[in-house]
Amino acid sequence: MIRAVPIILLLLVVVCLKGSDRQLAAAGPSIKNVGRMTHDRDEDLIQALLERGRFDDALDLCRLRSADSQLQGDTVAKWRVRESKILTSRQMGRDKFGTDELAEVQRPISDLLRAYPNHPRELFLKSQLLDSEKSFALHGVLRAAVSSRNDQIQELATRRLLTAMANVSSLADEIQQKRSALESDRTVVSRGMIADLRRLGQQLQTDAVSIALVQTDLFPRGSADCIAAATKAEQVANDAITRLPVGTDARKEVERLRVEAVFRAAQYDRCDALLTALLPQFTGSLPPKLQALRVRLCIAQGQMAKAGKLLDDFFGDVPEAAPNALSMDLARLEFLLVANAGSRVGDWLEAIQRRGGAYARRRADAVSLSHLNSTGQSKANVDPAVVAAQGQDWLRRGDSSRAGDLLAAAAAAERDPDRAMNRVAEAAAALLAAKRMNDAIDLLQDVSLAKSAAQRAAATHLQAAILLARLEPSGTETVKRLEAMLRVNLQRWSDSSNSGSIRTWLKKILTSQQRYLEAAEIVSDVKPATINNELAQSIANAWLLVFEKSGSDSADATAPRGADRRLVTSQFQIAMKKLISNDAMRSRYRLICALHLDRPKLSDLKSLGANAFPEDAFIDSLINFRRSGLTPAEAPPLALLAQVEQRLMADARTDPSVRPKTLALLGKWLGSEPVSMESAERCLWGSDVEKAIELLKEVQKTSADPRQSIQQAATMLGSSDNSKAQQAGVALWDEFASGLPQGQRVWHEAKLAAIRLLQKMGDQQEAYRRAKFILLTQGTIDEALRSQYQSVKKP
Amino acid sequence: MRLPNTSNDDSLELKMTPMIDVVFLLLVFFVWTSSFELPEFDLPGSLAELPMGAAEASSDTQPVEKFDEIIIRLLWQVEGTQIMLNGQPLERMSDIKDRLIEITSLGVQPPVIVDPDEKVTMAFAVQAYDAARAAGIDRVLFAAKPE
Repeated sequence: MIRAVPIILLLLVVVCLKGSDRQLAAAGPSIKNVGRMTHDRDEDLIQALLERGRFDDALDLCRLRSADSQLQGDTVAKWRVRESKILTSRQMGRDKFGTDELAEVQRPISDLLRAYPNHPRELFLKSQLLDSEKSFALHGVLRAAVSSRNDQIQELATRRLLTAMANVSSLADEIQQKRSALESDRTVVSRGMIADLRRLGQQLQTDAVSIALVQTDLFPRGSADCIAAATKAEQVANDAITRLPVGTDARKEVERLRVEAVFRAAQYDRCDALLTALLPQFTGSLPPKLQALRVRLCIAQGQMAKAGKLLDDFFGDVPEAAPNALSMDLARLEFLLVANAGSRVGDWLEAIQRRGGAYARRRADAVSLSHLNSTGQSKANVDPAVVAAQGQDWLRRGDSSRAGDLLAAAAAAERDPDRAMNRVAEAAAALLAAKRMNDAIDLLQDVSLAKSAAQRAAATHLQAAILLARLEPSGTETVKRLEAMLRVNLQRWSDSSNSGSIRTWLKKILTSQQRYLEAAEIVSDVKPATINNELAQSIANAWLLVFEKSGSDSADATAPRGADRRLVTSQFQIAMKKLISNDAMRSRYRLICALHLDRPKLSDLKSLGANAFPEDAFIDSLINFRRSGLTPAEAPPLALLAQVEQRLMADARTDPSVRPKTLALLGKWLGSEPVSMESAERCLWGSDVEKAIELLKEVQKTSADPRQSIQQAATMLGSSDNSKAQQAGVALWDEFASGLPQGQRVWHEAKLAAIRLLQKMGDQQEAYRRAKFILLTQGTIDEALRSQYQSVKKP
Repeated sequence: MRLPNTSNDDSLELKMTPMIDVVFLLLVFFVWTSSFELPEFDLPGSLAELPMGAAEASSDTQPVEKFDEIIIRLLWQVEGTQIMLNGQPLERMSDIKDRLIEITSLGVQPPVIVDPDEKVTMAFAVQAYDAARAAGIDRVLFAAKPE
């Protein structure tokens, strides 16, 4: 009873198939019965199920038939091979075919081989493993063909092909060894096995050639790489032909593959000759693959009429009802593409999908994309809308990755710039949905630059930058690339509505890298007419930061010098030259000049024109005071007071002759002396040393960085000519040094500063004692420092 | 009836027994409280304190040293103790004295800190101390780990 169950199920499946055949027959008179293709009923049945995409039924049948058999027997091996084939076919129709999926489709075989490593049909089982691997490689190649922009996918596909090729060669050697071993024992059983192995070996020869040929799909048709790969495939085919007996199916197949290789090497006349020589070997109707090759050859030779006739002979009046043959379907697609058949291309693509399933559609996509890429923009034989339609179709089906590739190809091929922007936006959205952000960025960038005349080209390019910033916000390389992109955007579309935001963004990037001058130059690169109050302030702030970070030309040696002051001044004046025609900008320029240009530069300053803002009058009076000492009539606005104080102090430091006027002016504006370094300095200038020292002590107490304040105070006191201040300066240098580890460079500098100050005060004895003491007690001093100590002579 | 003798002609008699008792008590007291060992004296030095940085140091409370302290490190090694004066190696104990004499001849009195390793004997540390004192240094201190 149990044995009868599989047979009943098999019968049910056959009945179902017959039923579906009847339905097909009812659909049209030209739909033919599946019929028997081989001598093996099961094989035909499985093939029929596969063609209809009924993978689950086929798998159930395989599992059912192999369940009752001996695991070491031929039957199980045969059904496991079929099961693996079905799984592989199913996987080929899916989007993903990675190593995990490969292991899954190989599992029926690998499990059996693991359980019985010396299975009698071990080599046949391994051959199926290899077959799955070949499909795995082919899937990778197809993916690369529709993602030609992606080098990573292309590399992966090449690697898979090379691995498959190496495994074919290795298995062929194994088969040869096994055959040699069996030759010595020519029993009836071994003779059967030898014949089987011979057939398997021949199959592998065919596989080797077909893998070599598939490699040409990785490169654009007609390219040097494609021709080189085709030539190599022809060599592999020639080698295989010498090893295969005349008249065998394998030999015929390899000869066909050789013709295909010659065709792909673009040697059409030779291909024609070889094809003509090959055709008589086939009796009856020609295999579809050869017919397809004839059609493609005609197309390549420009014999479109002949190609059309061959296709009509095969497909008849209702192409969709013609016998299933993917190679012919693809040939017809190519014909339609070359004939620029418009919407018929899209219809035929749909038909291919219906007739051959997902795998067929994938190959059709590869053909149409290859055609699109090879024709390029100049010919533009194919409407990119066809490809875009395919992409949108895939998007609807949820395959965003494939949709992205197709839409990207359509965008790149689109001649109309504005339409190209629409397509590229769709493509980028699809690629983002497929988590292929890098591809989306490249696409947006490339297409917007290629079609820079488009209305939305600048915004599209900016979108690429925004995506890049999201990708890895803090990566050094990302920031570099982002900066370059933003600069290109500003250069290409300087008047775009986004240029202001881009400038601000670029300014932030450059400022974060302490590239203040570049940041200021970027924000200043605008047209005067576009400057409003806010932008003028932003430009002014950028330049103020540059001046602040570049230090000053005053005696303040400790000021940080981010950039050369003279360079900053000249760059500032160059940048402002074209901007000061704007009132808001002129007012800021006036202020920056008044606060940051050194006095000699001020005398070169030409008239700045009429005042536009209330504070301009004060700024002019400040400039006049700095130029000629003419006391300003009014006090500075409170917001500017601190900056004005700093400026005037810097002038007074550089030129002691202006100190009295500066003291008087600042005294009037600031009122009672506040606790600050500047106040102490002014007390020193006014010879009120006691007060200065007292203020410095106060500053030191309240300072956030007492060490720095001590150093500044010591320097300030040391610069005075008053002996009391100098004495206080020595004490402060001593205090500063006492907080540092002995022997450090800063410690030595403090000691030397105290010694120099003592010398300045005329206390040579004390200076000598200190220098000698350090020379006696400090073991390791570098030569430069030692010589400075040694230069202090005994009085 | 016998009348009491009113005459006061008894001679003053010195009673020796209590005298001897007291003398013995005193003798025992002094024997018990006396020591026969030589007296010890503290070295005229102290433990060095960790220096304060400029940020913490207040000029009001602590005067700043014009001449920084000199640190004599005594490093224990298998082949013998190594002497380092502010990082400079000295061969003999007498070199400490010579170098310090040269320094004091400048008219300065820097503090000297003797910093011996744990394994260095006390005798060696005191020799270094003596050398510094002999050179005329007033303030010789010992380094100690803060607890």
